[in-house]
Amino acid sequence: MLKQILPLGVAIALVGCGGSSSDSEDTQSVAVTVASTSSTVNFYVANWQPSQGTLNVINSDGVVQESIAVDNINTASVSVDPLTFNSFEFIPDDSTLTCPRFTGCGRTVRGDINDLNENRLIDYQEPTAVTLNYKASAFSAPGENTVYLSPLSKVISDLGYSAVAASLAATPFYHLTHSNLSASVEAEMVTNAFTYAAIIAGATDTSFSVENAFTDFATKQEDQQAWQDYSELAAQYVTDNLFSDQGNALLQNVAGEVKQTIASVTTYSNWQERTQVTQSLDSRELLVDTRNIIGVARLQEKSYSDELDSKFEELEGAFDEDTQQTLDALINSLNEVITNYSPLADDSTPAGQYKLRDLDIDYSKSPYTWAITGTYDDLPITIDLSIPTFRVSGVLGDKIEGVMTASITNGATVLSVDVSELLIQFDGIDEVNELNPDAETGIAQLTTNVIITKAAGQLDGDLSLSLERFVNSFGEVSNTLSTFDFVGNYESSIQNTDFHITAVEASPFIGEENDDLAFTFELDFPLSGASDFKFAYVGEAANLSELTSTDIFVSVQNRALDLRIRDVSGNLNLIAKGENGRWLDVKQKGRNYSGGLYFGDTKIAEVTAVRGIPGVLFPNGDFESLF
Amino acid sequence: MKKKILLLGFSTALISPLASADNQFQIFTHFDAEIYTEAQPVQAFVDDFDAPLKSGDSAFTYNIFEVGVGYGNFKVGLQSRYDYVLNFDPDTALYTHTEKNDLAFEDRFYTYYLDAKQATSNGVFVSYDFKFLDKNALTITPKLSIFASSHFQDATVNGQIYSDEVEGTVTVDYNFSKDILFKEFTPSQKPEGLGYSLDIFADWQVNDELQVGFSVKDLLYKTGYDDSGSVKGQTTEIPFREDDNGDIVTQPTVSLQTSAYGNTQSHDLEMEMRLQAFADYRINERFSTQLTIKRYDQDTFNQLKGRIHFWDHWKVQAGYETKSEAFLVGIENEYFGLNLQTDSLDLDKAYYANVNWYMNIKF
Repeated sequence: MLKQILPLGVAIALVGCGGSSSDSEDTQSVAVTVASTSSTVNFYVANWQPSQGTLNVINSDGVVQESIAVDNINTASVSVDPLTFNSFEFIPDDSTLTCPRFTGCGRTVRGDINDLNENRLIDYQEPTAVTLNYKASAFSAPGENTVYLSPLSKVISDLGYSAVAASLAATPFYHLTHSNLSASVEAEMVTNAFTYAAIIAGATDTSFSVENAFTDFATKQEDQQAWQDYSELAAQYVTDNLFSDQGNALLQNVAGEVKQTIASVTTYSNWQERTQVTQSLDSRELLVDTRNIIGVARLQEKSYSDELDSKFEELEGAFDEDTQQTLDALINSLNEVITNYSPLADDSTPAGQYKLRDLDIDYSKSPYTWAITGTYDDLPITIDLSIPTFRVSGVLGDKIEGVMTASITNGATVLSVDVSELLIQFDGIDEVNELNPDAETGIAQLTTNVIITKAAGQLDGDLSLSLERFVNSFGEVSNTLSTFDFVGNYESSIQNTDFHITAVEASPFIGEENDDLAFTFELDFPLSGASDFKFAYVGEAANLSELTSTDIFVSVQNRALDLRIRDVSGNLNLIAKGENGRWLDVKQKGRNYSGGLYFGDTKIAEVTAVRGIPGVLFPNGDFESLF
Repeated sequence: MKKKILLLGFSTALISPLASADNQFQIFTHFDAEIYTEAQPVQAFVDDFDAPLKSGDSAFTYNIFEVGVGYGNFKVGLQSRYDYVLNFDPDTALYTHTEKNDLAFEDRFYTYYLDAKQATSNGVFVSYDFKFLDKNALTITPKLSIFASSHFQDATVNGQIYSDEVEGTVTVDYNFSKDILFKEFTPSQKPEGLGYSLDIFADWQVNDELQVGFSVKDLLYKTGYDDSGSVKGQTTEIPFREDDNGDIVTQPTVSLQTSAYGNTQSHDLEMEMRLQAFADYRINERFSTQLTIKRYDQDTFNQLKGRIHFWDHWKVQAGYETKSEAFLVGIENEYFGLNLQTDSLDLDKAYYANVNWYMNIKF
């Protein structure tokens, strides 16, 4: 079980291959030539911002090293000293930002010069009064780097925080190095999302600032409403684009990764100052990090084998089909009932008794209450819902706060909501007009606390989901679960594990509703040897046990690693990407190992095997086994 | 290896001895090839380690070929040597035997200890017979050799290995011209070695019947190699643990400093001295006997020979040696000698073999 969930098991299998002294072929290693290294930095700024401006390169002492006029920041490239830490600041010549949301950026006052069509709405692509600052600090790994500039990267950089752990990646979400440049689409989408949210939040509330919102959040101030709004808007970028035919088509393939990164950065609670460690080219820190992760796994195998196995088994069982079915039943029944029998659907729907397939609905008004009983998707269901007040929010649209009690039974799995506050909010787009054809679409966001009792333990968490109303390809209004966030804790007699599961419908216009949910999992559980062990994975829930064909993120002692393990007919390939752009590539074919230890684009040591034991051979002749 | 040695020995033996007159000046040649293994017969020891395992902790072979000239008490000549000395733990022999024959390992730590030295050298030597006592009855001969060497091994592996798993604590100190242990780090250029050795021989004709002698070979032996391949390092039994804060601490299972990428080292190879003493007793005109004690490192061999003398200065001899359990036959005279010694005529089963011949042509 351990070996399935943590592909580290496969990595450990690499360890077990040595030992025999049977003659292996003489493999003379090719000498590693440590070339004189150089670093270049490319940039990305979301394209709502005019791309001409000034690029400032600022060293770690805060001194401007270079100030360059660039025609297009997205094609600009600068050379910097490798292994240095610099800040990059972009000051656009034209600070105008247009509304990035297809459904517009909310209401405005009469006579606003930005309201070009004078409909008292800031429509999509109409100018806003918002201006943003773009900056990011990054360590320059040898070779090519790309730095993604956004208002959020500026705040995090200015405050000196490390965003590595929050990004669930070996490098911060706003920095890619040679080894992960292929993740550029994901990084661009995340940058877009954080820029998108800053424009809309600023357009709808002139007092909003990313800096204040993030500072309140990172320093755990009591009022974090601004950050909540910003986070929701950032997440909304994903759905806004997936659910619009004008949306960014590149997003579909990386929807899960983008969703997970946004979810993690906006909920990360342990912001720490970035430690300034002078980097040397031939440092072996990545080998230590890799060994530590594998050491943690082996430590469990050695001392707590049964315990850890059962922990993983329980966790996989906790997120099984039964759990998903109960959640589906809750979400879909609520969605159907509220969109059919409430003032939101049509205020003329009278109170009374209704029947929706196998559900009996007792709907009353003032206060609005619903008593729902019966079965939904063959699951016994009871929901009591009351919404005493409607509240209108100027920022994000209508919010409806209520109280819900619910219970859904699916064999041994029982989902219950115990008099939990329910929050439903709409994006405020309710008027159809020619200039705003997307107004028919809308987002309802529902937040509640749920407890799912399993045979072995209990999942207790906050469920937050978005329901998207849109016109599908048949011209029908469709209600689709667009995003899903479940943050909480799994507790049983043997474990107490924090989890954050997200899902996003990656291709709403293709196939059945919700048939392309991109799931992400983030698990935080203390293990012996790693009290802060964190594990993250993006992919189908059903593939949890086949992780050898996907990528995972693990971190131990605040050191992050992106691991990719491929097993093609017994030939293993492990790529471990560590912090600052270091990476390790190990290929195993039978008893032969090859690959290298790299820093950016520079190979600093050769992977080879000594008597069948894989390791790294440095130019000074030192050999260190990988494990 | 054994085959090579024996072939060389026998082919050289086919050269017919030349008769000559007694004179101050002489030309001589000498060859001695001796091999001894414990745990396995020589053949299996060198190849697959697949014979039934016997207890034992050492193996060696000493091979020397010399040709030279003498004048009076002086001798100078050319010398070729191939020597290999191995000490090991019996548990290591068991481990190797189990591994090479795919047998079941026991679930325990095996002692892993090997100490091997091997060198091939070519050089020159000079010796001088110092004569003492009445009728020069006592001869003491120091012999100095100077040689070059580019083939050598000097390895110490010490530790323990758990069953057939990659688990155990082993330290390695290995210097070499060719990497036969890891098969990975052979230097691209052969190392250059220059060495010397000093032997001392003493021979005392106590009376007409009794002669005693004593020799110390390699009393001093040292070769300095430049640009030698080397691997030094260790393996760690459990490469990970939890520290007091509950954090993981790891280290590499194997960490080595090697000579890869031209990081070759200078290395001095030294050999153990070999001691030998004999007492030769002439029983009568026809018969004599000789007792020889050899001490090579930890191993002591006692040899008893009987001789029949015939014609003028000819003798045939036969004997037996303890420890090697080897029988010896030989024929010798002043100008020529050939001795063969082994514990089994079936060479696949032999643990010991020695071929020795010499030839002197005196002018």
